[in-house]
Amino acid sequence: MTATATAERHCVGAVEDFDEGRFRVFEIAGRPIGVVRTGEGFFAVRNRCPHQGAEICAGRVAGTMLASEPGQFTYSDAESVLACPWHRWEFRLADGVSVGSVTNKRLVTYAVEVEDGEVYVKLRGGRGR
Amino acid sequence: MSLESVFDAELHPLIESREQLLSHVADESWRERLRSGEFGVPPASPHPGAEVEGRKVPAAATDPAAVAAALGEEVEAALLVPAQAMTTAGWLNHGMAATFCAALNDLLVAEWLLAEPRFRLALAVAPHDGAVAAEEIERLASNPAVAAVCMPLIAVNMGQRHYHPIYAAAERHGLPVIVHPGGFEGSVIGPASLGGVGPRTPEETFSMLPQVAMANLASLIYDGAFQRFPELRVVFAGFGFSWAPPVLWRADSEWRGLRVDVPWLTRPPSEYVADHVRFMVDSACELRPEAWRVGAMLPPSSLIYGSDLPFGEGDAERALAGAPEDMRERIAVGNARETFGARLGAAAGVGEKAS
Repeated sequence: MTATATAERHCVGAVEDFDEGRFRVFEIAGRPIGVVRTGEGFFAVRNRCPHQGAEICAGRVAGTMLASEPGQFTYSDAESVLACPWHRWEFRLADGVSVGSVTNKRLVTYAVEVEDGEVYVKLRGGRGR
Repeated sequence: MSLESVFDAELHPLIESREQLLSHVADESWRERLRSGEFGVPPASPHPGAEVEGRKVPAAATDPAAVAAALGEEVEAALLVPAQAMTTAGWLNHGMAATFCAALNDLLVAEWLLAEPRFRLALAVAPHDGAVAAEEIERLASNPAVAAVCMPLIAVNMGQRHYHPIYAAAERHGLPVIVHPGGFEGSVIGPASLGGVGPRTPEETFSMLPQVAMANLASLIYDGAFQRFPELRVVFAGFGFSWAPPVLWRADSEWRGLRVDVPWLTRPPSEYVADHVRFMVDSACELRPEAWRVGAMLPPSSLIYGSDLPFGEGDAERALAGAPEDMRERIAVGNARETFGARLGAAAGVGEKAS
């Protein structure tokens, strides 16, 4: 898929083109960027795991297990997390930070804007949304 | 540079006969069972031919005064680790194992601790029943010369609830828990298991012993024992240490991917090990140059010297000769002070040499 660029924004389609929890990957200014819609909104990340370079957007978008007492599990879907399909490292969609601090490396994220039913990825503007 | 001070964290006191033990068995019925030979004093060592009265163990190893007299002046304290209690992992009668350990502890308090102010005791407990073991710790922990707990391992890994009463009692009294092989590892039922279908020769058993430590180290980490017992210290004695760094590398790597399966681990496994686990540098270690290079990959707090007397040479200077210069002092004395220090400070005469 290719994105339509206007000024600093790159249109990647209409809101209804995105199924919840399923990435669509675009080539934007030569970079592979995945865009996903979750219950928390739209997110865009570089389709490259900072661990070993896997196409991370093929991974699962879900909640995660919070730090807990030994032997207990506390699942939270309040935070959207992308798990790499290769080694299951998890990164927060919102800012690319490693869940559980298993690495200092971040997944590259991009800001997403929705305007008049269209979804835009902003290449500049840094990490986060 | 020679070592000015040494803490010997693994000296094995031995007893020769059940007659010695009789007066220390409090319960009359158990005393009768001991007297009638229903159980007795195990061999000093699980090594073939290493019977107490055999050629390999000097008679002086059973005489506290002789053992004390043989301690070098540089030894500031020696921790008694009753090797004969370690064989109880192979006893299927829980009460018998607990009775033997309690009697042995009482004997060592009465006859060994009084014989030498530098002696400290690692209380022996039978691991079969966590609550009973915890009672034994409570019974004797107030003795200021008690500086640790020691036990063999059974076929329940160390992170499991079975051991929690032991850890709670040890933690309450500031006592590190030393685990040490007993010679029954690899048996199908009872003691800790080895990989594969089990060893067929003693040589195979001893060659594979690190497997037991690996499995139990992993269990302690992943079952969250160090979160449940934040003051718990575990010392692996008689298992060597050169196997540990690669296990920790792998553990850290696996944790990064599988954190969701153990979400209570909020740090890499190796960090918990650095805080909570020590490895004894004793005669079970192959102290060749390559091993020291591997040892240097462990956190600097990890290694503690133990002579393993009477099964080892007892010369710390020689044992640690190949250690990197910046590690020797810590292995010889610093790490032991740090690990057993909570109790060492409470004991009279600590740091003093016999006059």
